[in-house]
Amino acid sequence: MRFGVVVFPGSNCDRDCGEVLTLLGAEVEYVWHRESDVSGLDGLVIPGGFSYGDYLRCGAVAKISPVMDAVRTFAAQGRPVIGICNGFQILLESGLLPGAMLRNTSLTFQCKTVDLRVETTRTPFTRELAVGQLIRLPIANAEGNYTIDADGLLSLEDNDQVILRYVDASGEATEQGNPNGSVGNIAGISNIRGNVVGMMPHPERASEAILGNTDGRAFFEAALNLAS
Amino acid sequence: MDLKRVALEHGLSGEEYDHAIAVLGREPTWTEVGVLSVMWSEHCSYKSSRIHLRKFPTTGPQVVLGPGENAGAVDIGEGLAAVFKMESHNHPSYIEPYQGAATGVGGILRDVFTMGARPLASMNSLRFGAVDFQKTPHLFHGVVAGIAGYGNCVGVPTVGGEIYFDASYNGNILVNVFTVGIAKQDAIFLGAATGVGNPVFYVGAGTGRDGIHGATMASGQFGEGSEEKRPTVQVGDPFREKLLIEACLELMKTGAIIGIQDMGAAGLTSSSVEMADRGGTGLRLDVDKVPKREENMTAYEVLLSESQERMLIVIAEGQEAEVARVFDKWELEWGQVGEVTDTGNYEVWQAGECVCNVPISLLTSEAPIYDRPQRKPARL
Repeated sequence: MRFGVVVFPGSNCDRDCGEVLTLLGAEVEYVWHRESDVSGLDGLVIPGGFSYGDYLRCGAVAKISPVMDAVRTFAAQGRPVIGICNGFQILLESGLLPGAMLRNTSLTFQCKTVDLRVETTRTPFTRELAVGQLIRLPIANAEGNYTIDADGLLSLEDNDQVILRYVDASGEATEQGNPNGSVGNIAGISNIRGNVVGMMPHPERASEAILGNTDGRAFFEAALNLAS
Repeated sequence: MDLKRVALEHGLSGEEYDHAIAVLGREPTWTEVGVLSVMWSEHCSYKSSRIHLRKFPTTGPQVVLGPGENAGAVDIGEGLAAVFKMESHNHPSYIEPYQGAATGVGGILRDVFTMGARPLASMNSLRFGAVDFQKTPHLFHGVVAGIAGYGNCVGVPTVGGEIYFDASYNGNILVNVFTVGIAKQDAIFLGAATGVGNPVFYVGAGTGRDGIHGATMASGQFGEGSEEKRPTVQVGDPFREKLLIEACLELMKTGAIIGIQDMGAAGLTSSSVEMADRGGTGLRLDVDKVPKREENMTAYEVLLSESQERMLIVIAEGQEAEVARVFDKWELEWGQVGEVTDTGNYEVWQAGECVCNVPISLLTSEAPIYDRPQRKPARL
């Protein structure tokens, strides 16, 4: 399996994602932002970081980069794409996923491990998890407050597009369990087809025992198993 | 123009100025006064602290590299070295806490990746004034946000630190930042300019008028006029730093680099002088070829600017195209700004005119050293 990790100037979780994929047996290709062809790959990761410095709205510059045209084509073919943190923000800006990000309600950078509930196994990245399964993953963002209008939210729910919700210790999607104010406690979503996934938590930072948490491995393993 | 008066205003003492004249055999130029004043500032020369710093132990079986380079390196086994350094950014942080602390992190990251080590983690040690002192909340929140913001954007986590509050720091906070990286012991890069005729490259951000005389300011005393010193505080761009890290680490793999050094305090001046000093060589710089972000900058301004996110690199002759390829890929500003010479002198040219020509040794080994009077504070 050959997985691509997109690298923008300012990406800083690219190597983490690449390491985990390599660890799980994938062949990893780092895809520079000027590339315009990703057709030879089995899956794509858009990693976290600060694409082009993100001095404008997060992802606003990345969406017009040459590589995103290639990502759009790749996604339209139904192949697996996951955007993590800044990668999620870029997928939203690009229109590959619905909705937008606001600043966290705390107005501060949030860096901690959070409780999450798996909401669907329909996507290539969550297919080996179980609906209702509780996991813990780290978040690290200042703009992770997901928002979408009422109709959009209804459509997300109706189409089984919510993949992860922030929950409290008891597994309920309460205000207490919501670290940034996201509507519906949404931590991750997919497109209607299910092949394009965006999530704010960082599974690549929780995929090795030495880091104290392996809950994130399943996201990569599932996609790799599907591809092989 | 009374250059002696200018020199005194730059923080040099009358004796120091006379010493410079004795060595040069003439009055220094305006540019040379600027160069001398920053190189002989406490911040760059450690002229008052050097005799005390020598008391620290610096050798041991695990020490791969002791003091004298951009960072130290310690053997951690398997052919690897932990490369680390701690640095203070006290004065800038007191004047402008966010940028002062942020650029402290930027500087310490550069010192570590300059050695060929990928930075892994940062820490800090902070001292603020009393909790109920009027300025403390402003300084505290700014410093913490600056450290966190810069590190997060570059992708190097801040993994720990310590904070104390005490009234003795009301007028002079301490902001110490630390970064550790990992390098292969046989691939550690040093900051020496060797190989006469080798080209000297500048890479990173363009040079502006920010931070001119930051080193001199950091060595001075704070008084009523601290607010007026704001223009000597630099503004950081962590995004550019991230590009610089990746570009330098990529270029290091090509074998093109002879010596590399970041431009910290006293910017282009201290980096180039220190590299020539370590190499036992001379260095010639052409100010016209330095990438700039402001117009009509004088040689004095270019040499003393402390604009952030800049590196100076001596390249093996013939590798120029490879250097250009890597820097262009990462969309950094760069220029071939000079060459290594055998004169032992620091020579700077602008518009066909030599504006500075002083022995490297005058700026380094022959810089003044003082044993200042010591006294235990009455409150202890």
